Amino acid sequence: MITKAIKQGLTFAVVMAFLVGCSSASDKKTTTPPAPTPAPVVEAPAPVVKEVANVVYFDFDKYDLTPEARAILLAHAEKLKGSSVAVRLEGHADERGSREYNMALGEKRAKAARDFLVLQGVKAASLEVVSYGEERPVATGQEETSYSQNRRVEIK
Amino acid sequence: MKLSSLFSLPVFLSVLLHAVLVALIILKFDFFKEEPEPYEPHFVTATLVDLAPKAKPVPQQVKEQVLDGKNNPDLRQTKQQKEQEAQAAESVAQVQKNQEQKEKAETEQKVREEKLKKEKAKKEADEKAKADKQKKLEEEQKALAEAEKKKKAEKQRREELKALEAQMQKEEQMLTNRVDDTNVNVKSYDQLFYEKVVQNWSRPPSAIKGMITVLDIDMLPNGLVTSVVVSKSSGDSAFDRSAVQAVKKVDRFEEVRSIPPDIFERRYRNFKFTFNPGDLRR
Amino acid sequence: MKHYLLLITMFVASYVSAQGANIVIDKGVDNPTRIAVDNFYYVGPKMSEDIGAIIRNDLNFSGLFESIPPERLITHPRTESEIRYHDFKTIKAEYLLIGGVTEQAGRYSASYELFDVVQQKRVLIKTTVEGTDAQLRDVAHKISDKVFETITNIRGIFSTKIIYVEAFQRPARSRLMLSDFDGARPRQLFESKQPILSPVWSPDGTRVAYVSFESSRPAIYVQSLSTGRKEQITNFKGLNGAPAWSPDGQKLAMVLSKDDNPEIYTVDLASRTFTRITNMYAIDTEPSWTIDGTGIFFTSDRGVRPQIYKVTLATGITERVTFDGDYNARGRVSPDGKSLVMVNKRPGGTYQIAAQDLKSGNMRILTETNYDESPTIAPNGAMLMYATNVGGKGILGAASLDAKYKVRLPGKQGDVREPAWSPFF
Repeated sequence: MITKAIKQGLTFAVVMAFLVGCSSASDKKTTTPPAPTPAPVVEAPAPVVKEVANVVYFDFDKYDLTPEARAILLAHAEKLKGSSVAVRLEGHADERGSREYNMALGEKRAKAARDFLVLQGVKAASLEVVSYGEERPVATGQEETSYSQNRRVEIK
Repeated sequence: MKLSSLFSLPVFLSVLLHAVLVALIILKFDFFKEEPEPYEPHFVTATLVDLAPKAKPVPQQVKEQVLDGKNNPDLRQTKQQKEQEAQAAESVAQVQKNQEQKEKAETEQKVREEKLKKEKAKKEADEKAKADKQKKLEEEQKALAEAEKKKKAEKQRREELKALEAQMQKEEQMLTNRVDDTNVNVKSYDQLFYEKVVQNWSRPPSAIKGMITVLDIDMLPNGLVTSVVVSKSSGDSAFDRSAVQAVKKVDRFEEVRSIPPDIFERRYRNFKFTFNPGDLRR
Repeated sequence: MKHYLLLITMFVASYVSAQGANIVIDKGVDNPTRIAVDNFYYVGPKMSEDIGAIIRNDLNFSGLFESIPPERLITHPRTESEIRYHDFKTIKAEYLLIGGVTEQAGRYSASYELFDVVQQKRVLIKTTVEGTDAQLRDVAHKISDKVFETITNIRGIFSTKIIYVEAFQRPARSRLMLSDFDGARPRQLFESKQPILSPVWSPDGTRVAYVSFESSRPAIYVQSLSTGRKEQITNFKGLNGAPAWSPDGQKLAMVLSKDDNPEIYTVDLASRTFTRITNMYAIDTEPSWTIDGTGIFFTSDRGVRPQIYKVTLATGITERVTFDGDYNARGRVSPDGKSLVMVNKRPGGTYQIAAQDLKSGNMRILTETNYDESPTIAPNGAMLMYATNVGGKGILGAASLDAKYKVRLPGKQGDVREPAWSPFF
C-alpha cells in the first residue's frame, strides 16, 4: 500500500513535469477546483491527472482479458517497459465454487495479465504471479455487484 | 406299570387322532388340488382301408313254372309279382349301392381326415421341436449375453423376482376368488397390513438393495400378533431386526376386525411378511 | 423353466401352510428410532457435564435416532426389575437406556444398560466406562458409540474430531482449529494473518496437512498433532495447494503450477520425490485418492467447465466421472468406495453438495442451502459435514448421506469453513 502511494506520487510528479514542459500544447481538463476569478492573472491551466487503474476485472469463471483490461495493462506496460521495478500481480476470484479451484482461477488470471505485459515488452523476471483465490475479497456481499469486484488481478 | 397302563389308552387315542388328522390333511390335499391333466397329443396311425366291393345280394330267382300260359291267372300274377320283386330287388340294390357309396365316401373322408390329423400332428411336433431348438439356441445366446452383462442380469433377476411374487399373489388371488363364495377382494386387507408395517419400518444404514427378510406371523382374531419369527434371514442382523421391530411396533392390527372370519382363518391367522425394499439409495 | 418350478414349489408350500397371505413390504418411512435416555442417576459433587444430555444430543445428531428426554418419561426405573414396559410403549419408545454414575477420588464411573421396549428384553448387559472430570464428554461419547453400534450395526462417530479454518476480518486473520465432531472443546492448532486453506487429516489421525500463505506465497505444511511441530513440504513458485493423503499415509497428492500450469503431483514424504500425474493445458486441481490408493480423483476444466475426472496411477489412463450439472468439483470418495461426494451446480442453480453413485452414475443432491462447499465424509460413511453460509456468516452443516436429515452446528466467533472429519482413532 505504501509502494502504491509512492508510485502514485512519482507518476504525478512525472506527469506534472511533462506537462509543465509543454504547457502550451496541453488542453486537458483539470480536477482541481477553479481558481478565484478577481485577479486577472493568467495562469497556466492546472494539469490533469489521469490515473491508470491498478486493477483489471474478469468475467465469471473466465481468465481471458477483456478489452478494458487490455487497455489498462497496455498503459502499465508503457510505464514498466524499460525498468526492472518488481511488480506483483495478485489474482483473485469471487467466492462461488470450491476454494482450490478458485485459487487456480486466480492464478490463471494473474498469468494472463503477466503474459500480456511480457508481450508488450516488460521483462518477465520482474513480474511475480500470486493467487489468493477467494481468500481476499474486496466486497463481501452475495450478489453480482460484489462478485464482479472480486474477480480481479491487482497490479502492485 | 400302573402308570403306563394309565397312559396307554390316551396315547393310543392321541396317535389315532393324529393319524386321522394326517389322513384328513392328505385327503384335503387331494380334494382341492386339481391335477391338471397333462396334454397328450393324439397321434393317429392311419392305415388306408381297402374297400373290397361288397358282394351284391343275388336277386331272388323267381321260380318260373312253365305252364300253359293260356288260361293261368296265377302265372300272370306271379309275373306281376316277379316284376314287383324285381323292382324291389332293384330298389334294394339301389339302396345298397347308395349305402355302399355313402360308406365309401365316409371312409374316404375319414381317411382324409386322419391323414390331415396325422400331418397336423406331425407338423405340430416338428414345429415344437423347432421351437425347442430355437428356444435352446436363444437360451444359449441369452446365457452368453447375461454372462457378459452382469449388471443387466442382476436387474432382470430382481424384476423377475418381483414379477414372480406378483404372479404368486395373482395365483393366490385367483385361488381365493375361486374358493371364496362371496368373491371378496382380499387385496385390500393385505393393503391395510402393508401400510401399517411400512409406517413403522426404519431401515438401518447397513440396508442394501436386494436384502430380503421373511417373517412368519401368528395372529389372533383380535389383531394381536403372538409370534414373529424370521423364517428367511437377509444375512444382515440389523436388517432382520428392523423388520421384526416394524411388525412388533404395530403390536395389534386393529383392521383385523373388519375381516370376515373365514378369510381371517385362511389368510391371516398364520401368514408372512416379505421385506424386500426397492427404494434404498444403494 | 426354473421359475415355473419355483412357482410350483411355492404353490405347494403355500397349500401346506394353509394358504396364508404373503404380504410384500417394499418400502419404509424410516422414522428415527425413538430411544428414552433418562438422566444418569448420580449423587455426589457436581459434575461438569450432563452425561445423559450429551448422549441424547449425540444420538439426535446422527439423524437415525430421536431421543426422549427425562421430562417426558412416565416412570424412571433404575434397574431392570423396576422397568414397566407399558409406560415406555405409551410414549412410543423403542429402546430404553438407563444409567448411573459414581465418583471416587476424582474418578467417575458411568454404568449403563440398554433395553428393547418393543420386544421387552435386555439388549446390553451393565457396562461401565471410567474417566476424570475432564474426560466426562469422552465417557458420554463412548456410551453413545456403543448404543449406536448395537442398534444400527455400524460404528458410531461420536468420539471423532474435526479440524476447520476460522477466519476473522478487521484485522484479517485465520486460525486452524481442532474440536470434537460436534464443535465442542475447540483448540487452536495454528494462527496466521495470512489465509489458511485445505486442512486434511492423515489416515492415522496423528498429523494434519494444510496450505498457508505465511511465507507470502501459498505453501503446503504438515503438522504433528501431539507435538505441534510443523514442517514445510513445498516451496515452489505458483500454486502449492489442495494436499491429499494417500490411504497408506506415505504420500501427499497436491496441485502445483511450477511447470506453468496447475497440474496434479504426488510427493513421497520419506524421499521427498515429486511425481507429475497430469499434463494437460487446463486447470487440474483438488486431488483425492481412491480407497485402495490406485487412482486419484481430481477437478479439471479440460472439458471447458470444471468436472471431476479419475486417473489410474499405474496406467495414466484418465476418464471423466461426472456428467450431471455444469460444475462438479472437489470430489471425495466415501469409505465404502461406492459414492463420490462433491460440490455440484446445475445450470441456473446454486452450489450444493451432491453424492454420485460411482456404479450407476446417479446423482443425489444432499443439501438445500446455497453456496455449500468443502464436503467431508464421516469415517462410518453415514454422514457428511460441509461449510455453508447463513446470513453472511460461515457455519458448518451436517447431513446424512441418504439426504434425509440435516443439522447445523452452533456458530463460532469467526467464519467457519473447510471442515475435515477425522478418521476413527
